Amino acid sequence: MKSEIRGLKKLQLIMPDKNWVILTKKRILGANNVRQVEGAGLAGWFSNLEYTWRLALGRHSGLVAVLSTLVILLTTGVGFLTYQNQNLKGLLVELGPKDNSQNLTASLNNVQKSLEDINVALDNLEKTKSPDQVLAITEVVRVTASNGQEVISTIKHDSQSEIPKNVMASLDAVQKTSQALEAKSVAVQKDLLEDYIQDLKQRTLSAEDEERLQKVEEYYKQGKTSEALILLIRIGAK
Amino acid sequence: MASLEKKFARLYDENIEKIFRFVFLKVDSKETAEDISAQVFTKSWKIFQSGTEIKNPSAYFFQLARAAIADHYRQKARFHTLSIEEIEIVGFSADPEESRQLKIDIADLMGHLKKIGDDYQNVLIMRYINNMPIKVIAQSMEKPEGTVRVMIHRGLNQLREIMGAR
Repeated sequence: MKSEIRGLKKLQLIMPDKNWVILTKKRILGANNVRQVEGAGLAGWFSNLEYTWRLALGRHSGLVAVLSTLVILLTTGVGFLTYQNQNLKGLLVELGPKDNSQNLTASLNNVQKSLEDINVALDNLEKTKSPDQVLAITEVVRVTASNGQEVISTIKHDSQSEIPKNVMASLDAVQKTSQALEAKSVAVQKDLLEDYIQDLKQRTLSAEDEERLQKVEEYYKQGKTSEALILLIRIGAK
Repeated sequence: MASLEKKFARLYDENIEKIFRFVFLKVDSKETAEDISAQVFTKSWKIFQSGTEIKNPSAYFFQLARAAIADHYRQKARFHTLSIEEIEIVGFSADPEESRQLKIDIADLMGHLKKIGDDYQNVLIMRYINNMPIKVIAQSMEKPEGTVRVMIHRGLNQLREIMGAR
């Protein structure tokens, strides 16, 4: 029996497309719940960003290496971002001496720098990837940036009096950059989606793809970007 | 509502890969597998929201998946030739030739699996590919645990015969 079981186990490697997983979840539950990524809180948020950039830039990207290091730094160096508890008040009790909050500030500043790099990299993304890949990636960046802002808002709201000034300043900076990242993703998507739809209208499409394109346009006009993207990615796919 | 959404979101995260894999192995098409998997979670989210108690959510998702697959074959009943490009694998090898060979092996295995009885396929996928406990498989299939064990054994025998007959 062992060889059959070994053979079957190979099929465990089959995985769904990660973008589709995130977009579908957003569609079913709405944007607020895409925050439920693996590992709650900032670590989960950065894991998601890291994945996005692996997709976008490939293994040779220095930026991916930076993000990987950051996630490790955040989750081990400070010791609190590895899981469920988003309550910064509890975390600050653990942090204790001033040294630890300085480590946290340093980590947040590094994150800030990486977010700025991602913001710049978005400008170059359009030139290096096909439109449907860019659209999918920008949607994940947008949702992730949006979630990150929510996580930080929650942390600030729940624990305002407990957060040292330097940490608060860093949190503010990260939040502001995330807002800019979200806004840029939306702008890139809007332009690209419009161009892509117009381009597809000029082409000869199968009856199935024509129907999909009509639906894409409807969803786009209704502001349902995720739904539009899921269908758009399928147009012309084998 | 927020805690219900959180709970469902967690169930989604825990089960989406297994459901997708199960459906993909049954329908041979990435697009159809995505549609059916999305349907499963959309339907079950509505049930959750209605307040109906679901004792074993994983088993319930698989029940919905099986029903949706059966509907798909009843309504569409068209063959789709699987392209190995539709097979997405994660975490194997950076070498494109190795990955390609693995995809060919996987497509081959999927072909063998298709030749055994439908219920046997289901239990083998759930047990050996999705690593589900017998109890949950039994609930998904709505059969006693003893029957599921026998089905697994018979399914493996059939698969061995088919693979041996190559």
